[in-house]
Amino acid sequence: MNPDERAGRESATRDRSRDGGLRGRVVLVADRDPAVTDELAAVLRDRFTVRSAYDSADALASLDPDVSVALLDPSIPGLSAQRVVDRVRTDDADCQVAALVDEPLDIESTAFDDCLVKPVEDGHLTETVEQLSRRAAYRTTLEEFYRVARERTDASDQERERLDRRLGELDDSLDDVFRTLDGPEAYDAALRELDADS
Amino acid sequence: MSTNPDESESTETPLNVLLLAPSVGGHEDEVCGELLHGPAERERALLVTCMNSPAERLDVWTDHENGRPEHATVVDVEAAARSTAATTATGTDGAPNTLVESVDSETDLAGLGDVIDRHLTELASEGETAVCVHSVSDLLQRAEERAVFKFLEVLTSTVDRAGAVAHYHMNPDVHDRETIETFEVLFDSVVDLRTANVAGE
Repeated sequence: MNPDERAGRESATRDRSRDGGLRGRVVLVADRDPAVTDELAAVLRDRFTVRSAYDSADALASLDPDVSVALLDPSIPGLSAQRVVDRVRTDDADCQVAALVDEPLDIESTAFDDCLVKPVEDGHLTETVEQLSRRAAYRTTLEEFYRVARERTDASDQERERLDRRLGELDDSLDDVFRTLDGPEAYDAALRELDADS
Repeated sequence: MSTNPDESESTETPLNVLLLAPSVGGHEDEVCGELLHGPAERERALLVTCMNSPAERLDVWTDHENGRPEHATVVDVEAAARSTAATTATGTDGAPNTLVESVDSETDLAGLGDVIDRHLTELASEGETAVCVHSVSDLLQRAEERAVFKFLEVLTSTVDRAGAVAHYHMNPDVHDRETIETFEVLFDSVVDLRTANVAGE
């Protein structure tokens, strides 16, 4: 774990209001070229909490539920789409994944949410990660919204009050993130199932 | 939140209404027509239909006392599942400015959302638009509850952003209490025709 992650986390997790809550979101970067990994990480460190990984074992081990966005080079040996998707789409973790590639990909036919063609221009890199981070936030918040709505149906009156408050908070958070997404992006973030087979 | 819609807009029409309409009675079509037109006599409608043919849904919209609307777009979700007889009736009575788009049976909810979004954006850019989703129950036949819930959260948000109004039919007879209560969370208001009209017909 990077030292800056620990430092960033305390102030960041409470600071939802600024920047749509992006600061403190954890981004994982793993390119087959360690120099590229370091360059990308350096750019992103201004706005995000960044983890760097230099091989597939490292990358997969770093993909815990705290990671919102992962930039992964699919040409790293052992970093198959299947293994990545298995790590990022579990019930309590949801992470948006962009492929770091040399040639543009047809995203619809891959297991990735987006792709970044190297060399990646700094502004485009930051913008893409911000957008993926918002999508990740929308997806995880919506999942919790559903879970709480479901839980509420079997709750006692007292619990129901607490859950209603929670639903109100989640609804506000969803509204905040929704403002930054267009319709198709929101549907995609909410519903897209990554299919690692295709 | 920078605004407080609950207080500032309490007297206005709710934007997203869940219409609980039982299988029998309850004047579902009349209420649907009222919700579509509203007191302001809206002239643009986006009708999403699954098991009913586009013609059946258009009838609910056009039977209104004040005549035909200017624009209606129908997004037809389950065209392939219905008999061809019902499907070919579509548009033959010559409603002007009526567009029917059939959604491929392979299309998932995200794809359906994109189609709805495109038409909603187009209609709403021309004036106040009413949306009818017929129905949540049919969508629940098509996809799992979790996915339909998320789909509707996005749809209600896009309706809100487009400045449109919408209602969503759901048949309370075919779902358990938990499912109905879970979905109620998504809407500004719930109209329950089981209690609103006990006499029925």
